[in-house]
Amino acid sequence: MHILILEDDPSTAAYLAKAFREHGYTVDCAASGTDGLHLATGGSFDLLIVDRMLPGLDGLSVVKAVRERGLRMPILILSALAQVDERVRGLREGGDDYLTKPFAFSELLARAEGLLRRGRPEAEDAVLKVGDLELNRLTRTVRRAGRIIDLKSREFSLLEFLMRHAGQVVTRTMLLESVWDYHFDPQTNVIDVHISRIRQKVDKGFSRPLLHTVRGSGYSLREGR
Amino acid sequence: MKAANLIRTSTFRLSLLAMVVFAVSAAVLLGFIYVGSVGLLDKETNAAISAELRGLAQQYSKLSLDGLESIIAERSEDADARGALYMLVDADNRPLAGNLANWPKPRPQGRWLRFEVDFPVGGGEGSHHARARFANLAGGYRLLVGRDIEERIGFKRLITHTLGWALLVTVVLSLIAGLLMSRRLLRRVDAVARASRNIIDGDMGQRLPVADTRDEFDRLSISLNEMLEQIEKLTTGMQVGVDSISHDLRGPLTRLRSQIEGALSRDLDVSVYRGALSNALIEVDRVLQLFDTLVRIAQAEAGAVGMEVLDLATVADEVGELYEPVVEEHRLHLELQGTAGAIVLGNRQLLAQAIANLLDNAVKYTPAEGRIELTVSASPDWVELTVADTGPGVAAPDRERVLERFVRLDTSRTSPGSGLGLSLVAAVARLHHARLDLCDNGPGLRVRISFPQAAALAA
Repeated sequence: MHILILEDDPSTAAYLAKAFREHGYTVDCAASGTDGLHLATGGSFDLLIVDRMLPGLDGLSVVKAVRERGLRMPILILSALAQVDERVRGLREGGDDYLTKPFAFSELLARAEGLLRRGRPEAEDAVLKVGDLELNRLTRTVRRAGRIIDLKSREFSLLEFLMRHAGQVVTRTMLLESVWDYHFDPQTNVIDVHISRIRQKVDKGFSRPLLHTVRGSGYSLREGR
Repeated sequence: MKAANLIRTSTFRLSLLAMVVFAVSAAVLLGFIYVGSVGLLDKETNAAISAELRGLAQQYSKLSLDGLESIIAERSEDADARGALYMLVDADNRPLAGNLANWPKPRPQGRWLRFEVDFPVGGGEGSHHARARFANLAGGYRLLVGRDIEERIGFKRLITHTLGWALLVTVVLSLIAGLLMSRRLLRRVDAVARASRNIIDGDMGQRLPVADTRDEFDRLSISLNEMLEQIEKLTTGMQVGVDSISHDLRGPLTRLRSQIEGALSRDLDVSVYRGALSNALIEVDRVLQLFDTLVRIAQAEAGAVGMEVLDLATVADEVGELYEPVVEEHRLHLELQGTAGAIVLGNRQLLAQAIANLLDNAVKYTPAEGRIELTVSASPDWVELTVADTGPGVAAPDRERVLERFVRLDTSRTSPGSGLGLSLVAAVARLHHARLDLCDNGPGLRVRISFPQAAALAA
């Protein structure tokens, strides 16, 4: 997997490049919008991570230009602008996800992995499977080891999101964004309580838990540890 | 106030310009009068002299010298009364007839003469100006016909004087008026400049002087004062904000620092380092969250957010559902009540966060077995959102204060929270032109936000 990072702050760029490489990615960096656009159109990248504010050509213009050239790889926009509307603008210009600085690398990684997985055909399959857990999107039923698990509508959406990102880390804000479409940090652990309810229904009574808590980042649905 | 300053004012320059325009038009007007009166009189006199001279010359050719002499003598009899002058001389300049004693002194230039003569002629009450024309007759005789123009010259002088005085008065009056106006203007400008200088030097309480005359200066000063009021409020708010931020960030940052320092000072087991780092991470997250909230408040207060027409009941429903498990975990009961048609013009994200903050507070402060109500109701004018709990409530005197930033009634600050939750709610309410009321729920707190109804917009 080949990632292009457009970030003008050298230490942030170096840190991100190092961290992504440690997770097995190939990384290229560009420090200005014009260089970045040049690289992006020249090479074949699986993911673009674009800082909102760049010298030369600003991040949003790069995203727009990349899309105008017909490139369809996912783009994640990083921004120090926390404004509510900025996010909408970023996504409207052709970004696929938007993350506000400062962020935890685990959050960025989780989102990058989510974007890289997205668009693969199995994600749109009617039936999602993780181990002996099975979720049917058409009949909206969930079974584990053949036994039907009764979930409320929102719990179903949560589990569906977790299963679509099976094996990856999913953060609390990602869940709040994708299941509720809200982009704020609730002070109390609202998401944790929802997850613990699902865990009660999905994992209770089974020897091998599927829904794992990843300390400091979020959750991961996967077989084994 | 220096004279140079006075002259440099635009008012003075304007009044100077007005003065020049006025003086020129006065001069042109008086010039017309002069030409129209004096010029006309001169022309008439000349015409009369010429006509009489021509007539007498004809008489001479018809009646010969004797006839002319007798006519002139006849006309000379009442000449003094008419202000007329006659003289007939022969080739040797000897007077033959007329009321003039001598041929006038100045050598003639052309046929017209100007000279002074004692008047009445010969009698001499004083010297008068006269104007005359002569003709050479056959036989070397010369005939002169003239008029006393003393009166005309007096009239001319009067008009010239009047013109001069009028111009002088115009110039002087405009100069005085210009100086007075400039001085008055300069005084007010100086007062405003002085006040501004004081404000620049840091006296934010200073206001521009208002003279209560309701003139354009007052209107300007009043507007500027309103602006200063707003700026002062914002700066004070910002100052308080900065103070509170430094206060509230210093706490977690100090804890963070001492944790890292403590962990580094000794050789410890890896698990201890891990623990210290996880605590540090939690601490950092808290700081970041605080920061984020502050940015959101600032944003809502600046009003730089997109608005859409939305159903508040739906938003309340979604946030209520998000909080339901937490509420139940705290062994509380959440009652959701929504009505259709609760349409407001708002920002969905900020509204959701405001509701979430209110629910956060309710969950935090309501003891177990308590009730939380989240209600949205609509009337033709208002859409009301109410969050009520059965917690300890907020005493009436504190209700204003809790809306301010970083104010927490729990002074020991043992329970988690930034003290920003209600500030954000207040900022969001302001952004939506909504009224925020904190009232008694007997027992507990009832927070009510009244939004202007936007159902008409949705249609």
